[in-house]
Amino acid sequence: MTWLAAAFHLAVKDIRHEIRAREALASMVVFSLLVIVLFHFAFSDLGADAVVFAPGALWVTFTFSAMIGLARMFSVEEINGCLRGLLLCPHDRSVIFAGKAVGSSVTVCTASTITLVLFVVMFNLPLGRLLLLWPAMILGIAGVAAVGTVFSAMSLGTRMRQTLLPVLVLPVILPQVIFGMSTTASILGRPGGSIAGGMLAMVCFTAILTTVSMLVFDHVVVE
Amino acid sequence: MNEKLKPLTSRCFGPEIWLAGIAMHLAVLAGLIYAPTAVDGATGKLYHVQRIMYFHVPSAWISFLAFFVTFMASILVLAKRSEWWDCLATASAEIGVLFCTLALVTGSIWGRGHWEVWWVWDARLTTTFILWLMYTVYLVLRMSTESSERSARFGAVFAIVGFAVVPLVFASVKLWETQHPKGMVRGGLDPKMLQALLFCVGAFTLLYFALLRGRLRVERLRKAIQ
Repeated sequence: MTWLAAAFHLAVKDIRHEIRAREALASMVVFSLLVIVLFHFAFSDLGADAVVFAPGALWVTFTFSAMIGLARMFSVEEINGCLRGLLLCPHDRSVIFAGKAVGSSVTVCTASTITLVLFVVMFNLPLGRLLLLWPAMILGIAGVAAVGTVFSAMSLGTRMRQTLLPVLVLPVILPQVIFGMSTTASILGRPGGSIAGGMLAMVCFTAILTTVSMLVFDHVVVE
Repeated sequence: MNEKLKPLTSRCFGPEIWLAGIAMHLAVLAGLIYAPTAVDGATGKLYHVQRIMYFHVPSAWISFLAFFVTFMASILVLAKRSEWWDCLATASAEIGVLFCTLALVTGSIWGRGHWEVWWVWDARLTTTFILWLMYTVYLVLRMSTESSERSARFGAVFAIVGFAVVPLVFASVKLWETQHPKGMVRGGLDPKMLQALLFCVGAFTLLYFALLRGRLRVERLRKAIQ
């Protein structure tokens, strides 16, 4: 089995598990909706236009709900020693990284897509903007998932376990979240920004962090 | 006292700490007396708060140097699995966080004099703050990992991934408009100011190496006790 096929099978295994169990996806969507309701009461009553707070509200929601999905990524492998089984796989450890990163990206992107559509509908934002908002969201989440894969595996080896995950991930992904917010603001028509520039910055972040994460992943899952 | 520990404790404060101490005293004199007071171009008034530059710029420089040392040492931790490189990475990160805190605090005081606010969400300030957060998390990670071998590995991985974000931190300065004073050293800085600034940078660098050496000795002592 080639490297690509092995990573693909691992990603499909994770997606299939999520489709059957629907644990992380349901939690992420419900959590996102609750956050959106909170943002409505936090900003709408102050007379703020949805276009003004939408970039921040959306990316905060995406980021926090992604933490739920990322926290579960490796904890499910602990049951019945599945992680040991994965490590015995006759492939490079980067296969586990790639499979897990793709699997979690799909899960997080699915939850975030539902959140994005509901947000646009509930706050009466122009529906046509979804065509640009969606690729921006995918780009942003891909970078978050790459970093999250390494730190999700790492957090299991600490005393605080998954409690430490947001603390580890958030400082590293902050630039990506900022790029995401500025791109979203540009898409929604805020002057002064560049959609292409924001997208390019997110592509650079994702490319750099995916490469680095893949290189160091081998040292995270030693035992 | 244990005979094995004696040679270690007696050398905890080597000559470099005295040298760094003298250099730091001279740096204070250079920044406060030798360097002339800047004059506000708009009002013609003396601009005393600018003297904090002699401590702000070297603190920022040391924090970046320290984080770079942590990054390089972390690569060597993963490549060679050596305990010494791990001690160096941790020690340098601790000193880096200390100097980054100083850079943020002195920058905030300077900002109060320059912009009349304690904090501005300027790109450079924000990204330095993000760096500070990252290396504080690095220290939290080191504390929350029990096995020293695992702590070394996890710390090294986090330091490498964290440092990879640094180019994006600097890119963000160019991407966004910034209120931070630009090109002060290359621009119209008085030669005496530049000399004082370079001397302060040298003194702080000496202090960094003195602190690093002291911290490494403390680490060796801790391991000897264990």
